[in-house]
Amino acid sequence: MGRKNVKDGEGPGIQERLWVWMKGVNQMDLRVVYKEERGERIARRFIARLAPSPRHRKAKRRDPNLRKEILGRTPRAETDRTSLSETDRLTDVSARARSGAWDAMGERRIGVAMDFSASSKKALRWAAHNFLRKGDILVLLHIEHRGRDEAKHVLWSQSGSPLIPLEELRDTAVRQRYDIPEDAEVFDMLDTVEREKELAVVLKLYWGDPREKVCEAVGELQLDSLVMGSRGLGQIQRILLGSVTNYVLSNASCPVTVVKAKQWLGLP
Amino acid sequence: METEGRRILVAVDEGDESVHALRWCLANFAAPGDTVVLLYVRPPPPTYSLLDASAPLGYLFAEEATAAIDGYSREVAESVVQKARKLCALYSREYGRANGGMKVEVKVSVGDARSVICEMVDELGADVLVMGSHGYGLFKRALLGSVSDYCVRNANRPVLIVKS
Repeated sequence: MGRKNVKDGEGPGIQERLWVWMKGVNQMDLRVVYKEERGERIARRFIARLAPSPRHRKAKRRDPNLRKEILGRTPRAETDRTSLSETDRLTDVSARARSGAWDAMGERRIGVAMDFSASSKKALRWAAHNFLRKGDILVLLHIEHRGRDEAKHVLWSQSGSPLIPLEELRDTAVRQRYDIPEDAEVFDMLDTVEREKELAVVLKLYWGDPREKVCEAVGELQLDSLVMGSRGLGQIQRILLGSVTNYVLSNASCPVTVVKAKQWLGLP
Repeated sequence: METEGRRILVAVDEGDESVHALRWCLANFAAPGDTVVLLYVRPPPPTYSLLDASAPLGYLFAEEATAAIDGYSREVAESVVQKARKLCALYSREYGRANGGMKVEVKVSVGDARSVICEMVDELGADVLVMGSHGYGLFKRALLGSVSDYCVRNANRPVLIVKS
């Protein structure tokens, strides 16, 4: 199923629709990022929307505001955006991120591996206080080990979910759809750091083996650096490093910061 | 909590990886107002006690030899430290920060690199430890042991490993 002839702004063709139908996914709010058959690179951003007829589809074809319009349909966007410049810039970054211009963006991309455990929250706090700077992009990586075989996840098992910006994550429906645990502490931290340092925060979910997926994410998203916690195994936490951390340290292609669970960091 | 005024401990050695780590740290991590503490750990001079029967036969070092080895090791330390200092100065100038913007301290220590680095993190009151990694494969790591692995496990502060 080649994607070579799909241009930006075109609606789905018959083949795409069949494929989406076979995967059993709801077409109305599907945003998919997928790789080419040979897995070489992310082919393009593919937004599936139902166009009522070919005539309508043609009219929308080269619309420059197409992506903004589609993203504007997310539940969050209906609310009034009072502080224009900041949120505009943030949604612009997220919009650009999800529109496939990820490679061209010049901001620093810092990844934080988040499995909602205490040590990864600590890692996020450390990153927020010590590492992140104004204008960065914070990419949260959440990797679910289970649930790989559910229908919706098959679609994303190869390349992970699309990049979900923070404003969408604030909506409970979105969180439930992606099975993100309800964790007030983490989302508070993210809100604070986004506000104070004017970052763009996105979340990307993967399903599969955490070690491999983190290393894959580093390459795929071209992260400049990674911050992760480390649990250690059982009682011997001081000496051992978690197996995921160990693997990622040896195999990641970017600088990795390890924040251990029991360290005293002097953070507020 | 201020993000300025952190103490960043950068472990340097004779190899290129630590130079790369230092460079990355200066470019991406250090901010004006931070203190960069360069730590070089030189290997301990070989000493064999005359009274110790475990000294290998025929390899008791004469005093001059020990002194020479020690002198050489100090020279290596000097050159490593100078190189690192120059790099810091280069970055201060390049990024237009005043020299007082980012302070540089140097510490040379003797002993086994792994344990000394972990001790120094506490002793020098560092907030982060930055090191390069030799990038050994699995087998080499098992044989030679990895200083960066040891430090990540045993240091009491977050450790940033920069790979080349």
